[in-house]
Amino acid sequence: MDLPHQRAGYAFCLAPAMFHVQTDALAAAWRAWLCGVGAPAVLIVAADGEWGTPDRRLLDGIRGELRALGAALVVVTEGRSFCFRPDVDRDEPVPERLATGAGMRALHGLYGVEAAAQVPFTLTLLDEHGAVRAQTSARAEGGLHATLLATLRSAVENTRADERVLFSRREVVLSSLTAALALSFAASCRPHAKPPSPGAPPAASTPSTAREILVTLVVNGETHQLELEPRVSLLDALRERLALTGTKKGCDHGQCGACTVLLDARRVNACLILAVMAQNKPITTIEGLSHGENLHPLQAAFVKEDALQCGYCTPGQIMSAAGLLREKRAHTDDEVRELMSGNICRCGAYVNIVRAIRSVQESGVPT
Amino acid sequence: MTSVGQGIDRADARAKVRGEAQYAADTPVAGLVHAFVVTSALGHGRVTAIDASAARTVPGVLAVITPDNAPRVPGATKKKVSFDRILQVVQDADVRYADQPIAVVVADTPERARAAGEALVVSYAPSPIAVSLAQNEAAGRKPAKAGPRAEPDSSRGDFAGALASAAVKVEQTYTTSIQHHHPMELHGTIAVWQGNDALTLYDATQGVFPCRERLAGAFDLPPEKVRVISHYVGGGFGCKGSAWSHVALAALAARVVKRPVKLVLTRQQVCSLVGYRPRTIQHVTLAAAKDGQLRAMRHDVISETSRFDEFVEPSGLVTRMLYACPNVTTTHRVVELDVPTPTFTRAPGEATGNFALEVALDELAYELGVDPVELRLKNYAEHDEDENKPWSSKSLRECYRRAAEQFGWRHRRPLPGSQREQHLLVGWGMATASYPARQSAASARVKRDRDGNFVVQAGTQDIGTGTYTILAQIAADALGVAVERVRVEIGDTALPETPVSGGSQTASSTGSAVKRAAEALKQKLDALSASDRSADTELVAELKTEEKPDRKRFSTHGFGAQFVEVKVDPDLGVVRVTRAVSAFATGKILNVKTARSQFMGGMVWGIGLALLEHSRRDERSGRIVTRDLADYHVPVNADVPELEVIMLNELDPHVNEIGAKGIGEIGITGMPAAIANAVYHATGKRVRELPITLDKLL
Amino acid sequence: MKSFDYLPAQKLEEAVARGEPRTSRFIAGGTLLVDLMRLDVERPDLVVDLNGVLSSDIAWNEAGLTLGALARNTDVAYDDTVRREFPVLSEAILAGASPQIRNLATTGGNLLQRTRCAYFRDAAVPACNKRKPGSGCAALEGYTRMHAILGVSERCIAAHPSDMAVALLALDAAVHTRRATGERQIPLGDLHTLPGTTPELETVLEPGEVITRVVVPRSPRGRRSTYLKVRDRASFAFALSSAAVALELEQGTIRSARVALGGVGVKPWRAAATEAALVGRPATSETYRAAAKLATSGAKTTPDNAFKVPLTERVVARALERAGALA
Repeated sequence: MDLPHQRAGYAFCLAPAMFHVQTDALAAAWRAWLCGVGAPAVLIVAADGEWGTPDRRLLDGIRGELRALGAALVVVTEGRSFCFRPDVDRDEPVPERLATGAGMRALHGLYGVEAAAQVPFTLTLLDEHGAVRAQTSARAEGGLHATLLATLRSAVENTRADERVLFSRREVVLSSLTAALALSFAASCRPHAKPPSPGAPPAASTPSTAREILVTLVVNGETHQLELEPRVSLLDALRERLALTGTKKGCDHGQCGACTVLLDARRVNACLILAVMAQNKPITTIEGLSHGENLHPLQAAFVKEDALQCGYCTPGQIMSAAGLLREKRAHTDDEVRELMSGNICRCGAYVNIVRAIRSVQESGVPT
Repeated sequence: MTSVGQGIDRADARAKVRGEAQYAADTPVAGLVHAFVVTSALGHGRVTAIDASAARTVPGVLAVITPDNAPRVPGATKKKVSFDRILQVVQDADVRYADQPIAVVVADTPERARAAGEALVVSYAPSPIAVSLAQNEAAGRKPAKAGPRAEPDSSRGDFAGALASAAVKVEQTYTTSIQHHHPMELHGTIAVWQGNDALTLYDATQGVFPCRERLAGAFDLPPEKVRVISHYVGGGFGCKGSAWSHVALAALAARVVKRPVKLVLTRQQVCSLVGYRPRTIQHVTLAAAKDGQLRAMRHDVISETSRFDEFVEPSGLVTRMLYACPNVTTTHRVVELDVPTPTFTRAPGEATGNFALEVALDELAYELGVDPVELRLKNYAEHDEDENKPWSSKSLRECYRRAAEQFGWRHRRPLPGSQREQHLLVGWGMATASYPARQSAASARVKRDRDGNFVVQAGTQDIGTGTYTILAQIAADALGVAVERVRVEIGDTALPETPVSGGSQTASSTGSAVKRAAEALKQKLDALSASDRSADTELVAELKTEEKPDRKRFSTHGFGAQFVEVKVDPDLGVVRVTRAVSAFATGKILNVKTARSQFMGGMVWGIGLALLEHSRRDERSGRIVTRDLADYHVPVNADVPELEVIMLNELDPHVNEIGAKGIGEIGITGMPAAIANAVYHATGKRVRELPITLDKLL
Repeated sequence: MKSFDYLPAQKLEEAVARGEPRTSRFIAGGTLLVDLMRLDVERPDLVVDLNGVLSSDIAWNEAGLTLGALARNTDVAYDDTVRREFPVLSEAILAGASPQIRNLATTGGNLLQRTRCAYFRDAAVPACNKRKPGSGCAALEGYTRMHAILGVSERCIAAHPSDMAVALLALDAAVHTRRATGERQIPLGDLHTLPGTTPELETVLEPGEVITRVVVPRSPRGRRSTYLKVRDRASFAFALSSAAVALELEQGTIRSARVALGGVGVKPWRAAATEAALVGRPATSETYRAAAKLATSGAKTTPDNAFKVPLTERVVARALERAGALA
């Protein structure tokens, strides 16, 4: 999945389903109504001029693809708001009390969306629980309506290709739409600066621009392509771009170990590495240490020995311990203490951290 | 089998070891932009100009907020309770301390926000600056309080008269350094406005409700319009107990750019923006009869505070109550300096004051030629002579006995320098530990879900202390169900109101409320007929608890005894703690596993305070020189030996509903003195200034 | 952190050419440069990545030990030959930083570490002759516990923080470099310069000059070598004082000696007077202690770091004892 980095009018963002911060009545009403619209729903909050009066053929095309997908479209602007549901098959008005200025503000609170000067529109993909699955406000080249149509079309294609997969129809449509949105909005929003091609003659190799360059990271077995400035650290790429927040920032200077990950199977401080320099090497974060519901032996030992308190240094401690086990250079309690000294635990769980690591070593369980 | 007391696994451990626990700055919020706080290079004076022209050209910059254009924050300087802070939220051009916030920059990525912040060109007009405590000691003034409740001065009996006639005296000055909390989680806030009149904050805080009150006050909103969420907190230790300027700055920035804003401080910034343990100068006088009976004690404490806000390190309080002595005088004075406001730091007062008192007692023991444990037993306080109340419970004698036995204290040769192992000097030292057992009003809700399982709901926080775990245990026992059937939801002002997780009071306060609410629910359940009980209905009990009525008749403290072995390289001065045994009597232990961790954590803090931690201010600029974790030394794994903790299960029917005294802070309180006393025993050098770095032993 | 362009160099000559402007910086392990860029102390326009153009090989042949400039600290420290032939080098590396940093940090980069002077690292401090030539030195009258006592000038008292470089100095290592005009070899003792009136200059390397490898010659002292480091924490802290010593003994007499100091010098510091006082003398504690007394001759101290004089003498004496006692 492409996840280009955020920018003014962030390009594209996979939003986990838990973003609901608003509790006021209007927001609750919005949410209830949106849940009733039927899922999936594409919600567009746009400045008046941005939605405007779409070309009729485009609008018909959009309606057709929505029918094919079984997805709804909700457009909210200051001037006019409407909803298209495939089962109703015509534009319906948004309830009056929601389609107001206050209503738009409540929507902003609910999903963090808005239409303002800097952001002509925000497009949000909602599931049947009213949860955000994806969001973008990247400028669409070729216009919002055309891009939306292309997106829906591509999603329909994806859905067909995916029909053998054993997911609910709804889930298939949602994931197809997510993928299509990423492609049409994110990928088209700005041309990439090409990465320097290996093997080019020195005279011809140009430095990457100070702006974004395409960076390929292989994290926990998955390949991600990101547009990043060269100054972005591996840590910030993981946390802020890939939403892998298990890796923690404790000092940003290699002095605490909270950001420890395995790079090429060696433990390193992700804060001291430029993401652009970590390309195409396997990276393992805490999220990739174990699979499914099973805990890695180190994780289980940390639980059992209570080798943590606040838990903030814990992912780094565990990844560092994973590196230590691979290195096979710590054979005594004191050697473990010394070789775990790059990971600060301010709660002072050291005694139990040593116990947890020693218990895994002594158990002989393969790690 | 009851759950309370069992060493069950930490309820949140699984989420934490998998990296799934979401701390404030981990919260996924769509449309997030990033703020960076720009701080003052100057230590005292005024900002005369901020040139933002270069900053504004950084791609992605959404706003540069300075005193010139910042929206008003009407309540920034209004405090309601003692731990509210005066906020510096770019409302004026005054610079009151080095690294004070002077601007906030918002951009689409964290890198751009920070780069734009660094691109601001700031001009200053400096004023004279004073940051030295030693040079300004005479400027000390009497504060309003020493700590949240206590009077700054105390006196019982006739100190001067008793001193004049006493056979043996110790009169010394002890000093402690600035200590920074440095929790591993950097302070971070995500602020989301719903229109202009409702605010949601995901914040790294020890108190969601106090944070809500402070932010509502700052922005002149009704508290119910502010929601604070803090499901996991990556360590607090006091510096997340108050809402500091950056929380309001995040909200301010979000209001300006009309988007959700994430603001995370840097490790360097937490040195100036979220408080610290202030330096203290402590003059201690002890006088005793030849038999070791204390006749007179005096403890005068001088600590630093800012010029705009008052915080007192209440180091003298422990001297008022720890030992039996008829003639005791204590005072607290604060010196206003051009520094940021200090704050509560793990065992504020006890950690520093007990160092002075317990080292002075060790000195007295050597003067008298008696064993340090004997001296303490000789002066055992059978009741609280300060408050003139009986103890709700006190098992300190048992602590001395158990810890001394486990440590092997009877093998100690008292003569300094008399114990060696190869080329190293071996020293044994001990000290008493104590910490008040506090309780505040708290509310809780317990529900039976439709699936027959139970949910505990309370606003409170788990800052690594085990709140998730012990609340489930308390509720399970009150309900008579297995702990696996109880789920705990905390860390949210949408839940019942609870106090700050500070002062080691969460278990006693919120735990009591949960116990009562669960009991109330159990009564409701029991009142139902069998068929109704199994019915598919949701049942709820919610209530608020205050201090137990009879509690006021007692003085409530936890006590402990801490014994330490150090090894000192006599040539190089290097000190390492090689063994430590502590025994604690803190009422009922709710979970032996998480409790042991808490005690050990306190002991590790004691090692840091005694040997390593030392924030240093440049006296010309006021800037902290030791601004990162390479220059400021918190203990690493290799600094910490095996630690032994003995937990006495003490029955205390008076202290609160659950019979438990707080345990989060007591572990630190005896360690610095025990270590300093062990260093003296090893080397014959009495170091009265913390930390005991090797240069002081060369 | 200021934005910059990134160039993964494909050829060494390209790296040299692109690294030449004052606004360019090389990057290898990144543990130093990323740290200083984040502090806004380093503000390059172009960062030239050397990972594609240098060697990470560790080789042992008749000339001695050759360390590719990219050889990671971990790999050097645990290399069997290094541990056997030059224990001081392994011990010094393992006494520095953390396992995570040692996995990233390179041999070349370690030698070019910049000072930990807190005033240098705080970009908001206006007076730093290293950061801004002619701006003054805030450390002179500041808090100087971690600062140098040897080689200091009126303009700078910043200490060199490396442990590895101290060991390499005691092993007579030489760095091999590549610059626009060709290759050259620089004895390690000549690599770093004294601050004098130009503390902004730290090495004799020309702009764009790249360290390609480090050669440690075979030595009769190599196996009898050791590193002793004193620091505040038990681990993961910079040296207050350290000593790398290497001795050649013949029937109880010291034939030759190398003593280098860390944590106390503006650069990895050779204690020549100590060495001279050892040679030809019996390998006894008295010799070691007497020679160690000379280690800090010429020291200029501040109230904060005056303790480093007695400390260093004791560190040297202890390290000599340890080396003398090696089998």
